[in-house]
Amino acid sequence: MSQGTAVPQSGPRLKLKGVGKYFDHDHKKLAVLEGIDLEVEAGEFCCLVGPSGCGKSTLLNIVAGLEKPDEGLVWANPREVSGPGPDRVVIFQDLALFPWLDVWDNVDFGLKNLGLPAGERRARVLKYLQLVHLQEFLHARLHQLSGGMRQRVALARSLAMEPEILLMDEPFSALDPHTRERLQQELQDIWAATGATILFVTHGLKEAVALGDKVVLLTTRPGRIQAVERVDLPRPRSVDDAPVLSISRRLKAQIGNWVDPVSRQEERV
Amino acid sequence: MRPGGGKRALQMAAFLAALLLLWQGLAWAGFWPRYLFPGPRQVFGSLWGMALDGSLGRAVLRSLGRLGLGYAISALAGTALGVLFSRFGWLEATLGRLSLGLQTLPSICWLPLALIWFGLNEKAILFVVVMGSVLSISMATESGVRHVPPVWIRAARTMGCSGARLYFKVVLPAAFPSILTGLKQGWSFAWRSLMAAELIYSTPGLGFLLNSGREFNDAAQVMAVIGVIIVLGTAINQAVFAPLEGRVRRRFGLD
Ligand SMILES: Nc1ncnc2c1ncn2[C@@H]1O[C@H](COP(=O)(O)OP(=O)(O)OP(=O)(O)O)[C@@H](O)[C@H]1O
Ligand SMILES: [Mg+2]
Repeated sequence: MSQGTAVPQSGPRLKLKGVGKYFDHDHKKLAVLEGIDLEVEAGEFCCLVGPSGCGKSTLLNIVAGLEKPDEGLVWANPREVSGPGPDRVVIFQDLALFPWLDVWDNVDFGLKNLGLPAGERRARVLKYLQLVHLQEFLHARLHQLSGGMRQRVALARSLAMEPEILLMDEPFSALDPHTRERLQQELQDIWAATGATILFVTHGLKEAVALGDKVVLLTTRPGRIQAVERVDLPRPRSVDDAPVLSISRRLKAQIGNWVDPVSRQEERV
Repeated sequence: MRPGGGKRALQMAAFLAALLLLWQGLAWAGFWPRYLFPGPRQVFGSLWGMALDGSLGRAVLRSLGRLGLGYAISALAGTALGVLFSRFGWLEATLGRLSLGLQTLPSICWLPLALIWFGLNEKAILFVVVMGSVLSISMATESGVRHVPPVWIRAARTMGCSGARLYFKVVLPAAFPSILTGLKQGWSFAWRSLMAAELIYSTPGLGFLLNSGREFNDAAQVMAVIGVIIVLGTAINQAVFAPLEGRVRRRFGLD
């Protein structure tokens, strides 16, 4: 659980200091992350962009407490992170919904762990399933839902826990462009309504600029922070807005060419 | 029902009817004496007789009762053992390996030992049934638990689930498709073990009915009881395991 020394000042919701991570590959040390310093304010929407394999998921897992950093420290809410906790819920790239439960019970799962009374749980499940427009599928089975609907279930499941920090790992990358755009809009609405602090990992620069208050660019592996860009455009925004496009074009020129076919393909659209 | 299910059922019915005709034809042709190769009339007659005098019903109840008890023990112990195997590597490396070896032993080989240990009673038969089915269940459970996608466990942990709760709410349900395969296999092993044990150690039950048919040189009775055993096995499979498996496969997106 998330105990440990308190963060020195009562500032950011999330703070990483000098975080580094190494993996063993064939007995060789592979540097994945180096010297990551990052602060995310309460209620801030922070997007993390970087080429494939640069350590984005690793960084998210470190914040979630599922992975330990080899160097540096992480504080959240505002204790030092030493393990997973319901104050930092992750939406994984492949969702990790539980097929043995229906939609309702998936959303209820975390609430039961929190030990909330039944009435409160029922109210929350209903509220968040309505928020993601699934009120007509309360007791559907996951295999009866489309990809976008499952994405919404995952969103509702995490939101219902009302975590201080929501960690999202390329949650929309597997969706068709139309559904992705709808969910990008909905996520902004939900974020505005709940005031959650979000750390959002993506391949797509445009997506990052459209969603984020702050866009953090990582280099190719070992991932280091290359640039941090504040985006102060009015919301709701879309990836097609002219200002969003112009900022992402400028950032793209600034970071040069990542050797990353996936993100390039996505950016071409 | 699956598309084409009705057609399949029709095919099966036609096939069974043809088989019955062939059987009747062979019986009429008289290649073999009737007491060796009885026709459908004798066999169904024998079946009817056993049904009327209650011996069939009693035998079915006795056998199913034993099966139910033995299988319940197997299912509980097998799942628990499988969880222990997956939890403790050293247990899997020792007892787990040993049970692989034990599985090659036909379970009826346990009967002599069981008779020595427990004497001539129900416990001996239960022991054979349990030994015949518990290991396949525990091994399927172990493999299912070991192969639970880690992302489910990670997701559960970030949602504040840990310890025994994690086991009961995530690991076991996630491993259920594999556990179910083990349970199904274990059930058929239990059924076979029971029949073998009842045949050898005469005690009221379907196996005993088979044996008494042999003692009176009554081929019709033997065939009738074999038919009952097949129908019972198939029926339980169709009524319990097939629908359960179909539902689990659909839910887990395996279909
Ligand atoms: N458990 C692990 N053991 C060994 N190496 C790992 C492990 N997890 C990640 N890595 C390595 O760390 C690097 C970064 O992985 P990570 O999943 O964080 O990348 P990513 O930025 O999320 O990539 P993508 O955008 O493709 O999802 C990769 O080179 C990967 O091989
Ligand atoms: Mg990743």
